[in-house]
Amino acid sequence: METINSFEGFELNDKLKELVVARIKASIKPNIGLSIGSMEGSISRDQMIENVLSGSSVGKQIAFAHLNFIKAQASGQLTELLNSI
Amino acid sequence: MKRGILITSPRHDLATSYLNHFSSEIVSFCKSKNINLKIIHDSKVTRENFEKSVKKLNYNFLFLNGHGGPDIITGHNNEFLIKLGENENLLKDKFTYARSCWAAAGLGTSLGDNSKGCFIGYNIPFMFLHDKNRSATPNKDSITKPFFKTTNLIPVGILKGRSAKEVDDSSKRAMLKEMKKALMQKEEALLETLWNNYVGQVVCGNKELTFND
Repeated sequence: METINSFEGFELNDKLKELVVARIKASIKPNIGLSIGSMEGSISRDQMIENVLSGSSVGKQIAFAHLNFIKAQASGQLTELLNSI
Repeated sequence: MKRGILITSPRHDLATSYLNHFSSEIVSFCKSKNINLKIIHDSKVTRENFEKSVKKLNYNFLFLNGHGGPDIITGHNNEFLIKLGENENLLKDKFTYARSCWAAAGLGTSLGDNSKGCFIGYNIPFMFLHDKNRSATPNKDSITKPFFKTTNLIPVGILKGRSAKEVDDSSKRAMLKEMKKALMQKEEALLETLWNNYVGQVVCGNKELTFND
């Protein structure tokens, strides 16, 4: 399966931050929380954005997930799998 | 080793409360089938209690809920229960499902391909969404249900005697169905977050292992 499955060397640059923040604003409703990360409980949409902008570990994990998804969409992998069921 | 399941179920923050809540389905299943069951919950999920129970009961299936990292799985207040280099031998030859972040990346792969045991977990963060207005009633939280409905298929499938590979496949098929539904309903965030777990869910060690072996 072609995907990003290693966190090593993953860099959260300004362009990626901008992209991920725009996607969060477009897809996450204000009442939705996200549970993520090894030691975090749950974070709100605004906290997701703050974490991405600050480049924290949680922000990197969020951006990493977005990038994985975009890559799966662009490669056709996601569509292929969804059509397989 | 005896046939039975040991469940760790801490509940010290919102994430662990949800894990705890949705693990009750597994508890009910075990009770209905008279399967040997030990639950360590809430503040009792400490390293000491965990190690004592694993050694004393010697059950063949560990279902671990909680936060984690590549080298650790934690319990109450993030006290580590298993740490690579210290006590990962507790997992040796057993069936383990860790519903926690990252743990498959270090603890899972440490089993090695020739292991008799099996570790199902995530090599990236396990994520789920929830409706903040439903925090007190997770059962009514439609945004969170797909994450637990699909991953509960793993322990239930194991207890029904299916192999590690079979339960991983059936859980992933269920995730794809939920993703398809999310796509139709234009729930992009749900689709994306389920995809994250789909990609990160892996089986390490003996993929043919069953609960009855």
